[in-house]
Amino acid sequence: MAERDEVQVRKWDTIRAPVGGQLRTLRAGRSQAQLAGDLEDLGYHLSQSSICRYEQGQVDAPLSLERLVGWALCCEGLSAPAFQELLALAGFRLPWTQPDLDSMDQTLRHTRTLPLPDQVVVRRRLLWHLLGLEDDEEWAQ
Amino acid sequence: MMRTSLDVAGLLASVAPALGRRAAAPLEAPDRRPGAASGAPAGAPPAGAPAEAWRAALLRRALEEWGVRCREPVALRALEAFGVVSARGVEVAVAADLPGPERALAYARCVARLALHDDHQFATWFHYRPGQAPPHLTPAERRTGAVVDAMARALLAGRPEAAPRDLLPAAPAGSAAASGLLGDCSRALLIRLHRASSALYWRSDSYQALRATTPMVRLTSRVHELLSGTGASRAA
Repeated sequence: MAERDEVQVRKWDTIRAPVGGQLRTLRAGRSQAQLAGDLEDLGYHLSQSSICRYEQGQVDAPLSLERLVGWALCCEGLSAPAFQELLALAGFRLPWTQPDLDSMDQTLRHTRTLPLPDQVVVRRRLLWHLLGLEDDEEWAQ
Repeated sequence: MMRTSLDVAGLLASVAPALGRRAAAPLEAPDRRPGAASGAPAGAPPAGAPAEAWRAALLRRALEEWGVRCREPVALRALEAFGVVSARGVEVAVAADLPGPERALAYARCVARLALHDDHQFATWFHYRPGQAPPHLTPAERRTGAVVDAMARALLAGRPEAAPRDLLPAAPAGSAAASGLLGDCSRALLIRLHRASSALYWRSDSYQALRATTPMVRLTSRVHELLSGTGASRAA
């Protein structure tokens, strides 16, 4: 905390309560435990209590774009107004159109019918496409 | 906004002749030596290489050369393959545990799916292992799967022309350039014939099989040449 920029701290202090509210909206009927499990499968290390604290605006560290996108992806809420609101609050922007995001959510809902290992593989690929990242280590070549 | 464009016509043209030569070659005993399937052959089929492994390697290499990222995840259980087309690029993932014939067919289905891709900004598709397709698939999704499968099998046989031209990516001399025997009438007739053939191919498994037979491929090619004038221009 000490080494974090003062400006960043002030900004996060201002927005963390509304961010928490939007995160809760985004989670909808999904349990915090289920979300924590889904995030873990994607490679995030967010415990159920961390999720609870983020939603209550009690976490001092700002939420990164990667965690924000991962959260929305696990909630199939990439096209939800709450996610757009979150991005705007945090000052992030993703280069995807609303139809693209609709299509991604549709794909994510579709993958819920697959066995868990298939779900995880597909979700990770979608996350990587969303963020423009590469990770070759997870693949057997 | 960046758009994803993939030259699937070029990709098909690059692999079809080699696949056709391989299909025409006499069958050989599969090479069961350890590691025999791992080599990626170049150009002509190497003697002694297992046919299906060679086909899969050829298709994967062609996809990669055309800019498609190919991956073989070990974790897929119900999916045989899936694909993602986005502004970040095109990628296909084929289950790592598929045996030779299924692996070649999986890659061919990916190529066929890309040929049918309608250039939306973002798209995904899923190909399921036998018996693993979810019950909620729509009739349209099932029909698309059947068409993709028929096109893939035609491609593996080195005969992409066994699918209707309208379903294949636009070739340089397409029906729009027709100037055959009766000019505009030929062109109109040709367009209608191609549309009817595509519609039938989409709806009927029987027509898919019929369309893939050698006499039918020959007949449709001759009709196309006659009405488009490509035969006359070639002769000239």
